[in-house]
Amino acid sequence: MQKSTLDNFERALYRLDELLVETNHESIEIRALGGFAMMYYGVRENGYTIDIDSLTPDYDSKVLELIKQVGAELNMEYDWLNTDVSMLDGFLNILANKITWNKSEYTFKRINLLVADMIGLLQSKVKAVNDGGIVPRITDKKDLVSILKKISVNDIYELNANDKCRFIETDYPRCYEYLTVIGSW
Amino acid sequence: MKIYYESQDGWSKEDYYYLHRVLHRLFFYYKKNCEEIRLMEIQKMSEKTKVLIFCIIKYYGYDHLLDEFENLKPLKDTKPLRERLVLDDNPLPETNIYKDMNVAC
Repeated sequence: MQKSTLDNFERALYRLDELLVETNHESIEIRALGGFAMMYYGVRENGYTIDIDSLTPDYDSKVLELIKQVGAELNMEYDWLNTDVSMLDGFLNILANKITWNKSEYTFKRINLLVADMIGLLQSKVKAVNDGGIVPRITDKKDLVSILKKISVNDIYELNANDKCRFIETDYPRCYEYLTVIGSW
Repeated sequence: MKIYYESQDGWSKEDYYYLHRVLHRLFFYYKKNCEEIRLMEIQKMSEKTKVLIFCIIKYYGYDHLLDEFENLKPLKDTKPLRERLVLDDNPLPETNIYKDMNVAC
């Protein structure tokens, strides 16, 4: 299995687009969060991610087949594009509507690719850490601090002084407490 | 070939970071991935890979996996790495099993 860079995902998306045209499937929408979005904005430079997380309803079985086919052709995970994040409580029905979605730079025939803006990425990771069970995922914590650093918030003082981060203390107290405890990153 | 069996000659920290992400996804969702976990041959893995699996299991309190999966039992004796494994130049500033096992995560 090859490690997937932004270029690899670009190839996979264009291949998926080709297949959607060939099979005369209607257009699909991808609302990208997570690792792919972080790589897209250079938050995870020179890095890899396993998949594209799309905050959309499940794709139909035909699209899932095509995704699997592209994965096999390009030696990527069978679910290199998936909607697993939509199953998390409050993500699809609430968070998706709060996020600003940017049109991607790519031009596809049957794919509408939108990428969450940086604050949207931040919101998703804050929520993940806040709601994340007994032990929030370490990967979500790492992504959270990476995004905060990217927007020049390097400690709890800078966070408190940043209007765009105010929502963390008011809406996600558990995440705010975690950031307060670690202090700086 | 699964990434956790690959030779790690010439690997960068980004490569280890990715390996950790793959293993994390596998073990965090162990119920969904039980078949793949059951087939893992720990003896074919590098010490670094074994330590990463051990860290993930211990971080989430999934110690029961070391009993439930016969093939994971050898991981009970996992020791900290002699040389620090850096996954990230800016590790999380928290005290946790990764730090204890000499992994900068």
